Amino acid sequence: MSKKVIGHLILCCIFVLAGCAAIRQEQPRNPSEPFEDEFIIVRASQWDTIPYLAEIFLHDRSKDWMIRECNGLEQSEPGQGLAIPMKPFAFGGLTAEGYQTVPILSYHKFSKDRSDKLTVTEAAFKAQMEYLRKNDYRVISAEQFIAFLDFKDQIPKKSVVITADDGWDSFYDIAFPILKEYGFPATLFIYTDFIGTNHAVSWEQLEIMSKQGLDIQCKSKSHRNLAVLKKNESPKAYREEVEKEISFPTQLIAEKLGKKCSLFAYPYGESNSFIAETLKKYGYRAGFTLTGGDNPFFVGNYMIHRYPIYGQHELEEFKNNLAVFREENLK
Amino acid sequence: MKKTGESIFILCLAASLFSGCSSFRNFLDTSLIRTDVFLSERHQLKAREYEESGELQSALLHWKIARKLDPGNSEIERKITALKSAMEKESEQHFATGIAHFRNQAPDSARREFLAALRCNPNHKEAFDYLKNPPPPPPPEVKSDVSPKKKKDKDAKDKDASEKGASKEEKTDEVKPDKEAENIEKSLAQAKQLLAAGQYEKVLPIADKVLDHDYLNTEAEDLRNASYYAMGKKLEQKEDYLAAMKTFAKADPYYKDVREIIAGLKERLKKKAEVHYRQGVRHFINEELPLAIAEWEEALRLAPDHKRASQDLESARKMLEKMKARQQQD
Repeated sequence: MSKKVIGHLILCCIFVLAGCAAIRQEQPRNPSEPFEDEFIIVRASQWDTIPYLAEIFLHDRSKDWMIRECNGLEQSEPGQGLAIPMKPFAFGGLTAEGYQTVPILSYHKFSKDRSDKLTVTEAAFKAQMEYLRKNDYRVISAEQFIAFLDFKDQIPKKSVVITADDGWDSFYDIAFPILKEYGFPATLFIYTDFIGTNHAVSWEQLEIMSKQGLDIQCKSKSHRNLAVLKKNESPKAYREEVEKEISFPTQLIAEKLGKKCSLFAYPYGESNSFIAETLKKYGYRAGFTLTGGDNPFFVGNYMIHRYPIYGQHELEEFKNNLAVFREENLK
Repeated sequence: MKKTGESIFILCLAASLFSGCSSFRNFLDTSLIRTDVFLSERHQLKAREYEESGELQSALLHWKIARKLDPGNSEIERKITALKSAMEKESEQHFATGIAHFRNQAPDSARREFLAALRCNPNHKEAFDYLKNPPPPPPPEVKSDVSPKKKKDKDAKDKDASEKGASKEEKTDEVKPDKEAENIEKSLAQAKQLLAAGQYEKVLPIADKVLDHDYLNTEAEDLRNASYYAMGKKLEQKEDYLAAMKTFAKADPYYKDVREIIAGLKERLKKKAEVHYRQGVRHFINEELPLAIAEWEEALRLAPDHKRASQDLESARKMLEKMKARQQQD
């Protein structure tokens, strides 16, 4: 090898090293270091979008809203100084004018073209998801919602939670692909006796969806109305049945999907204090009804409201279920 | 050799300068951030706006951002201390008012005050607890004519009862007896009789009512499907294929051979539509536009996805409009 070639090689190495240094210096941030501060200040470069900054500093691209809300702006401009909140800076969505509420939507069955009370068509479901996206609603996970209830984390101002009940096969065939397309998280409450039967999803399908991010939670074993005493059922037998309806599916879901359930949807949406106590005993942190209504942070964790979405609902009626703020003078 | 050495030196210098520049720019950037007084002032302005509108948490946030941008500014430090103290004071005031409302059995007013307390101080644990797990409202104060001894006995009894109060037996007291079960059984029996008697239209509202109460009631679902199935069959026999198809479509597609029947009916309707379409073409050739339009409309009613019928119908309608316009002009 001639000296000239060696010289050029050395030069190349120097350039590469110099370039590396420059790249490293462009990002003088080490996001893995724990931040003591409530927030840090960065100057956005021309390549820094707000979701990118959220990914770098908050390790979650979808937390872009935190940066937007903290700085009171929609987009960053090159050279602009931005505060990146490293900790939640507002809890419970409380303002002087009122408080935040979170609508929770509850679906059951889906169909390509047939709708009835509990069956929503593919087109209608898609239109509803599109409405949420176009109107800047943020679909959050049930886990995030529980953190909001417990005053442990803050959530976007226009937060919505999507849930589906029972475990119908049409959820796997129709709803789940649409949710994936929109990147919306969702929770599926299953009653375990139904799984693997006609019209229901299989455990394999549940495993696939779980691996792809679907949150699978519990809705009893047999879907009996837990708040109702059966004919000739003694109170003792009733209590034993309620315990079984809660404990058995918890174990089965853990065995089949390797995950611990912490949320429970009451069959037919009905509950009482004994059921809530039994849920606490088995480590459940929340119980979901089928009664439509507001969910401010101070709603009871075992009496969470959900709006049932019916197949006959037009988009206009769907919109009525999306209130995200209740006005009240809190000055 | 000397030349190569020189060029290496020059290039090294250039490379170092480049990397140095980037570091320098970076240094400049961070130092600018550290002492960005202008940006700090913007946040101070925002903070004042929020303070004025009563959004104290947001005001505090912007004061803190301003302090981060201009750390040496003692005025900001003073503002933050004053605001924090004012917020804590206000929070305590709201909480005390909330407790007073709670004791006076005014839960809505109490809730509002606890929310206001938390708005000023999100760490106010007692206000949070009152909102999330409110204690039972205190009993209204009434004048008692019970003698002190009797009262003591009564209090002891109440204490004993409240200690036992958490028993499971009591907690299941609120369980409702299944009153509806008997009604449902009766309704289903009646619906079965009506189905057997061929009165399908009367079965449907009964089954729907049961399903409204219990959407997983398989018996009601079966009765509903059986009724639609039988009604669809009747219409099929009458050769009213369109109505038959619409009726079958109301049943569960997995009930009996509903899917196959619907597919067969669609095929029949397609054939019927094709006959009407051709008839329309004949009328069109004979320049009988209204008749052609009527035939193509019928074709589309029977088979809404008949593309040629849809295209030709549109053209025919336009032609007819033009002809009418020309006739009016003449």
